[in-house]
Amino acid sequence: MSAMQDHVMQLEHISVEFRLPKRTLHAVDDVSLNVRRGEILGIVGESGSGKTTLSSTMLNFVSAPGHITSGRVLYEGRDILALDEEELRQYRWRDVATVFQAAQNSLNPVLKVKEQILDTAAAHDEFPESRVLSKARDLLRFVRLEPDQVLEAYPHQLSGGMKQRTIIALSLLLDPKILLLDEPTTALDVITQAYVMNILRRVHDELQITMVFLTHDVCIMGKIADRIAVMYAGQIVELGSVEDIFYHPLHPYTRGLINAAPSLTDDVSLRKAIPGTPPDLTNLPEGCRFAPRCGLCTDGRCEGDRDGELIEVEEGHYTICCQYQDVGA
Amino acid sequence: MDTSGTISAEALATQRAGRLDGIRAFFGIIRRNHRAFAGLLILIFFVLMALVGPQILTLDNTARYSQRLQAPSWSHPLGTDYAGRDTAAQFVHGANDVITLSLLTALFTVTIAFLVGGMAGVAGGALDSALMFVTNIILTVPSFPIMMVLAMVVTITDPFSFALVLSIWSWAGLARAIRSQILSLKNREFIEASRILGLGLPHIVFREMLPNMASYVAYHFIMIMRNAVTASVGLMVLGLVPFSATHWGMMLNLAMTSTGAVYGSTALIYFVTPIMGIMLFQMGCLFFASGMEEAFNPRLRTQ
Amino acid sequence: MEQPLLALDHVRMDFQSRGGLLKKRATVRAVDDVTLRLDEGEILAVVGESGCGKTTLGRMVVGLLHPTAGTIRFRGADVRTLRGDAYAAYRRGVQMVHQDSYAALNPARTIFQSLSVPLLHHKLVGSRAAARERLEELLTLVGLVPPDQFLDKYPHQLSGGQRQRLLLARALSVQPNLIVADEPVSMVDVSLRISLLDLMSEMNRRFQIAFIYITHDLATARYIASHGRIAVMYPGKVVETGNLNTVLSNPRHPYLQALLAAVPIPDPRVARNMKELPLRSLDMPDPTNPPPGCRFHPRCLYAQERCSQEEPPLAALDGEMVACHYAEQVPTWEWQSVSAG
Repeated sequence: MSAMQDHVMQLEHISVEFRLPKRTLHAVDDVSLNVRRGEILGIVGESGSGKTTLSSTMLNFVSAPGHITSGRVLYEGRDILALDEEELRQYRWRDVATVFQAAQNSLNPVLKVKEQILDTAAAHDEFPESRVLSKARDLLRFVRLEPDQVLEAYPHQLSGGMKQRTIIALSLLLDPKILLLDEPTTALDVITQAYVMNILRRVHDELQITMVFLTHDVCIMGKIADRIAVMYAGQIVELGSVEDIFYHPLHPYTRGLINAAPSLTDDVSLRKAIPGTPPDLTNLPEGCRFAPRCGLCTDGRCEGDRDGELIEVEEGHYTICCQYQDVGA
Repeated sequence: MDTSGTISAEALATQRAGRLDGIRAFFGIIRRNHRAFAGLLILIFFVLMALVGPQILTLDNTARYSQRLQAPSWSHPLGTDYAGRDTAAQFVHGANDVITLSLLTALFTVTIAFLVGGMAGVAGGALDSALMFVTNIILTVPSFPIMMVLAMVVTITDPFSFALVLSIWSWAGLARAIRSQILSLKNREFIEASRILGLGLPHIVFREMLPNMASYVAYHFIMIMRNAVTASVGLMVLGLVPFSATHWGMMLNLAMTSTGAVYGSTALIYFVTPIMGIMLFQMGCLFFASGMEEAFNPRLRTQ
Repeated sequence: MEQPLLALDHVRMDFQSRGGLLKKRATVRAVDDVTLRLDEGEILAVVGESGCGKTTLGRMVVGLLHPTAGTIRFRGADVRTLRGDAYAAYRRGVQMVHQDSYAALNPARTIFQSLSVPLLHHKLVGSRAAARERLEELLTLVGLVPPDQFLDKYPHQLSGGQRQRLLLARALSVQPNLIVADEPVSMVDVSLRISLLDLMSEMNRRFQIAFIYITHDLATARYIASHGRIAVMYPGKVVETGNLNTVLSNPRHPYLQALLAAVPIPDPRVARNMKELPLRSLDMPDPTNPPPGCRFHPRCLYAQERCSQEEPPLAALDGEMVACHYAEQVPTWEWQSVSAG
């Protein structure tokens, strides 16, 4: 990892386990990842990839039966896993704000939007009210919402797209350094989704805010991500710039994901599914975890070891596939 | 196309094993939940007592006043009552009455609740409104006074009529609950799918909806049994139901009224025995019922 | 002339929302004057955003809802007049695959219990043993092998993709003529979607089962209905319809053009160069109070006075049907990714 880069957050050798009655689930296995200041980093992974668990470590939000069994999360040099309650509370939302999937769950249904905004601000010692509200109005306009309409409304009076934009505005209230978005557009219609993505782009460009974007749909990353990390079965299998990932993927899973996405323009017969089923995190194979579904190895096993060491193939482009040369573009 | 009716022996075995597995899994969960297991043991104890006890401890109803209100001894483990009769024997025979009554009451109540709530939920519209109107009236009038009145008016001679009296005003709450369960299930996708597959109303209600209400109904069944004990004891203590001298409620009544057992020290055991029995039985019901929801949950059963 | 398998004529569906103390009763016209045909073995993609009425349309086709107006004909006969054997044939002939595979399976029953019931009920097999055999064939057909691994499990023990295949197997078990698939892959991981869609295509080809594929995702619609037709819906109405390849290569309705512009493209250089969406506003119309004239006109970049006064009918244009007064003047859709990215 280049030491010249200015990293606002560094995850070092993070491992998270979930202990269930009869087995242990390895949700995240020795993952290291750096977030560069001012970038939009996309983390792509399907169910079972561990991306949501990884993102909860960034907020020290892993709840039982999950445990962070090793690693550090460095934010501006400080390990947030070592912070106490009060420091953690300040850190959350002020330094790192989150936009969750299905915004419906984030907004309190019995409070007007205005009250919610004021509550959040008060919880982080932001006063006076008038300043908070004027800032909220600016932010709402920024996300193309009508402040007067939205502030006085209850969540159920707003559409899904409006709620999501409201949450985005709310997340920017305290000028966070990092914005963490977990599938922010999955529940939205395609036109609203495109709109919200445009808005996020504007937010990034104008406020220079670092964004970490989690999704299972690799296609939407093409438009706004600077770098993409692909996760599978609790490990990062590939990391690189958005062009690297789309135009010369170095891992068969990445390649498979891109090939499996139906598109509007390509020849329909070029699409291929990834064979097999998602990984069982309680019962992982020895050696490469993707091997059972990989087209490059014949009998479901690959000499690629399980260490998860990323190989830097070109500058800034990493993969853990030992046969990366054979992953055609 | 189905070629023949033959099927491998293994497959058949798997099917049967599947069903046995279900029962085994059910009790497996009960065993893991300590409270529920304790409750089950208590209830089994009483059932055994009711079935087997009377063979062991025969009831001798001859009055021997010279032996009245004795303290526990080898020949009378729980002492004697006001007429010199063995308390333990009465207690054991009474268990039979108690359990029979509870079971019957629960059966009647659940059946009526299911009929009313089920019809209301499934049919909807005017029938629903009419049935709910009746149900709500019954809910607002307190049940115990009604039972008292009924007990005075109706001659109760056997457990059936007693159970009927106890259940006639108790089904309303459960009926409402069953109705809401059905309403919420009605619009679930798998019920829709059953309608699209043309599976017919009886199948949908009994084979699709009912298994999803099983834990709920089972829980209430047990709780109604418990309530039946309370209500019947209440009526008997008040002297409203001259029915079966060995029912614990009756024992309690006699202990309080005919003996002054409350005042005597050695005779306290005669008073306390039915109370302990009632308490223990209710505890058994409560504890066992607490495990119902878990035990019926397929997610937990298959872990 | 051959009879279409399914014919909808001027079908309308109104819902009454209950008034409250402070709210008036309102009527929501979920489906407004829709006319469609579907032939045996054909695939029709019904595309639109949430609230456009596509799900309601699917439910009417399947018989869960009765239209407020208009007729639905199955093999020429009005569905509402069917009785006895004819009704039974319709009931079995039109099946549905739901979006939420977990909710569509009874959580308290094993897979065998759930799936054997339709077979036994319709007397397609004679005994439970025969049902088990048949189900093993069906599960193999939909790619769930080995089948006995799945039959005795409960729905929560299976993955989303597996459950979706089960829904398809269940629909197939009664030998239908038409399957309405309502967003069947939207809750499944992206990498598995194609295999599910391939499976449905195969069922269509092998058994000549017609499909109505309901979705908001144009890309998957294109994938599965590439030899079929498409109908684009905008609150309650069909605004463009025709052969899918024709329509998508030459979209004429401004709403469809906006939809196409919004679909994410897995090509960074192209995606980053795309212009803003050709829309004047983001908000969908209020279903209880739709705009006068053409419903789309408040958001349309090309709207003119006539659009706010008169509703455009579906009219033929270049081999497809479009509901727009000025369809000919709408600029041709430029595919920004004309050259290979």
